[in-house]
Amino acid sequence: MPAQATLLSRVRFRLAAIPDAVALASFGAVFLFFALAAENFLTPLSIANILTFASISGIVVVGVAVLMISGEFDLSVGSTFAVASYVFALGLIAEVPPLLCLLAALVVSALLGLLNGLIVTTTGIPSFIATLGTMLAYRGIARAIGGSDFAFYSGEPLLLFRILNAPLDSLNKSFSPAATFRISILWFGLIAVLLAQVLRRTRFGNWVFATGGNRGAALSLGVPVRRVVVANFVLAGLLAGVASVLQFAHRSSVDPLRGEGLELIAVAACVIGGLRLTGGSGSILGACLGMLLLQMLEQGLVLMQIPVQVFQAVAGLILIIAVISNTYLTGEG
Amino acid sequence: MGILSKWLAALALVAMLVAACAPATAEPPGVAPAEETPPEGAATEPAAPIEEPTAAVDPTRSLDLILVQHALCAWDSFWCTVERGITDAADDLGVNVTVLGPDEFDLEQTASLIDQAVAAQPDGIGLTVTDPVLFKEPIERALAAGIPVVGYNAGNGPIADGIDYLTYIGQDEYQGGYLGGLRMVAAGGTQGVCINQQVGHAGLDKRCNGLVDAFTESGLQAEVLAISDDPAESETIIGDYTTANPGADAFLTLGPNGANPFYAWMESAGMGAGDVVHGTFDLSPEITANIESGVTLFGIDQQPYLQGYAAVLMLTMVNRYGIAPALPVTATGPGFVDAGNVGAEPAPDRAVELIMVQHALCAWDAFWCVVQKGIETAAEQLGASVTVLGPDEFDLEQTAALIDQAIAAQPDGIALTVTDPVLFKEPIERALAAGIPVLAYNAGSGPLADGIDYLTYLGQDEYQGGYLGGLRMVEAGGSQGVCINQQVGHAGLDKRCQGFTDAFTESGLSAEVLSISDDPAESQTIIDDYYTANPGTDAFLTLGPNGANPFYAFLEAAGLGPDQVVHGTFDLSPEIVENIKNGTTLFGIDQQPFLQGYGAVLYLTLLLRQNIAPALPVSATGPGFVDLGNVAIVEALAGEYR
Repeated sequence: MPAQATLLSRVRFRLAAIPDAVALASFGAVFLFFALAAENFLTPLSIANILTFASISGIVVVGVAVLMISGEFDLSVGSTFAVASYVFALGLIAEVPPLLCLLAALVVSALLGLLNGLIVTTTGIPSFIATLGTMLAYRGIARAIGGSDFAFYSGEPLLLFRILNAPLDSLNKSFSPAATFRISILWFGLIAVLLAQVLRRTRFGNWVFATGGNRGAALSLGVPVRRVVVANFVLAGLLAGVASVLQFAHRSSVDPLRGEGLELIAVAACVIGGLRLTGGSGSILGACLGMLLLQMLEQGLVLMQIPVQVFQAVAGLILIIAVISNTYLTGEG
Repeated sequence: MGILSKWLAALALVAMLVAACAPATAEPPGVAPAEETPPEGAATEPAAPIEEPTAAVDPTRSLDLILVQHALCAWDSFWCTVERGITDAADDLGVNVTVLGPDEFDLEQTASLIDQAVAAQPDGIGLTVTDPVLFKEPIERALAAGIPVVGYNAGNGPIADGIDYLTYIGQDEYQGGYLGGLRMVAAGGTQGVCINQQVGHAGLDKRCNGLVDAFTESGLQAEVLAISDDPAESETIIGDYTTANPGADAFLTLGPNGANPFYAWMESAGMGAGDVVHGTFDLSPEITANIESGVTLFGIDQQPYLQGYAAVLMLTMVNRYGIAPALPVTATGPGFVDAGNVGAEPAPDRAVELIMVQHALCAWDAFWCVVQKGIETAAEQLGASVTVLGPDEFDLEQTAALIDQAIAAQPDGIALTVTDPVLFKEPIERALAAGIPVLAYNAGSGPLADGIDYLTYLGQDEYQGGYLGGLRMVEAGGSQGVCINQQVGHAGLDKRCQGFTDAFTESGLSAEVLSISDDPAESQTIIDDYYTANPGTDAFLTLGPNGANPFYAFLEAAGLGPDQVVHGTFDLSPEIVENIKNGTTLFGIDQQPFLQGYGAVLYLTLLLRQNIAPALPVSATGPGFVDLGNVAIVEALAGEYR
């Protein structure tokens, strides 16, 4: 018995030393399951669907992940997503130069993030509550500026749309059925890698971990905690805006409920990816794996002809298993 | 119970009268006579309304149907396809069907067969309205006996035939020419010719009108060229015409009698595939060969299999669920046979896996439970495997993603709600490019209006709802109509009012639109003011509960009742159902969501197994009229089938 216990704790020690061990393991397990159980899972179209759909939410997820590592929440990203979509869409419909529309959408989303940051840092209201409020408020803004109606862009296809999110057609059409790879996957990869480097290699990255880990200690070490938190809120808002314009460049249409529920998907992806709700630990890679896992789950269940409603149940189960495993590995259990 | 027993008595009496009139030698086989009740004073009762629920409402009960047709498979092979459709439908739906027909073409005997069928008191009669004058009397006898009747293969629909049967199931000639014309324009045709071997024949002229309209709407020209039944003469006429009009490059022939001289002209002029665009009605060995070789773009088939199948299906729907056919003419054709499906053999035992993607689900929106019931009922009856996908809350982006995820599963067919044609266009086109047939239900505007090349849209025809509702109100004594519109400018609602005013205008009466708001009290005042200013108004159409409720308030305040005004409305609500029952409201118009789910599964399955394609861009599931005749069954099945 003692020998076994030491073996177990050695494995536990080893695994804990590999960051994202749980995220990788759960991702691998779900992938293997569908690869074996779901017909047509290992096809270019299925893989492309997973990557393309995950890339939009994924860009939101990495913003939320950085914020969560610094110990804060943002429940308003879905609503910010909708506001930015409408700003972009309505500008294009009004024939404002496309670049200006893009800029406006990004500035507005960054400003909404800034507002979140200022509310949280100046009033001291927990970000969970503060952004619950702005989630409702921003949704109201989206509905108001959109007139509670759809907004379509049906004019000439824009060069900007192609730059932002063109389909990779020569690749897609080499498969049958044609696949759905889009440039947004590259944007997602680029943003994720960039932010992962910032977190790992820069002073700002250290500040983020310090702010989330132990705010008092960080303050006493001279970390500008407030500025870090505000900056991360701006980042989360901005990335929600980036994701929304990429999506609009693909879909050319936005409805008043666009992005609703995205905030919870983002939190779920982060938690499955090994981020702690209390902040101070986790990685961008983990959060991305979490998002890909959720998207894989959705596609896999459709392929197995299982009603999508099961998705929530399974996603919830995986989330709980991931949290328990992470807690166990990090020695807090 | 009083009404019920009187009705039964009337039915029994009529049935006995009919039985007495019919020749005693030919008893229709296989149908048990209904139980009879003593006819106490029943003779003075007016004819009973159709669909009074004599039997308890049982949506799974077995039915006995009789189909009477002017020809049989036994001596005319065309009818073997029709009868195969009939037999397959009977098997799928679990109903008993008897097919009756004369031993040789004999319309008088066919008419007597109708009377004999009535005597058997079946649950429904389907028949070919080959001679509307000769058949009018026996059909009306069936209707008077409370037996639902549909026409198939031959007929013009209840309005044109002047007989009040449910619908005529057959080819829409105008749409054949029109949709064929659009295909020819898409294939590069720039100047059209409709080669008509019998100018003056109503059906053939409609085909040519359709073609000319399609070209004109596309900004191009087309005209009619009259030929004869003499092939050599016709070939010369075509040759002379093309010499005089060298720009003519798109030719529609109306059957083998036009196609054969056309092929002869092509040969003598040294033309082949790709030189001109040619489409034709009907199929023949020559036409099929030319479709295969690429000379002919398409042949238009009336899809006789679907005529037989739909006749049985619609009679079953009326009986089991009180669901009536939406339009006077239910199109089974044009069915286009082109290079993509020519020579395809039916595969009746083929396994069918379908995925439905819809923007809402029964789990969180009760409306969709009725659609779901339709999907499940069809899947079970047809032996198809169906998965229904939808978001957990209204989320069009996720719905669009679900379409792509559904394509990845490579199903045999996809049915979906085209809630947002801009958003859904790309994934739908990907499915089509992957060779997966796609059709729309509940939300959409049809492939032409949506600009997406899916098969058809199953939903309500708003214009026809207003038009047919208007005709009913005129028939009920309405002489001056008003369409009460709570949202003028809304395309769907405006179409309803347009149909309503057209029905009054065509009847030589007048009707106009009254704009109200979503505020009930304000709307009541507007209606009241309008009535004061126009006291001759006696026919009111409301477009939903938001119009009906203020209208009821107005009636009550003004002390008006069904004797002074005729009221019809779109949609159903508890108030509307109550007012249908007490006679205040003539009808409520239902889009029949059960039929949307059922039809989506059925059409895809028929396409995959029998190569039957939906005929029109919009396949109407509504207007479904709910009136005194069927309100009981609708109420009993509300939330499940209705």
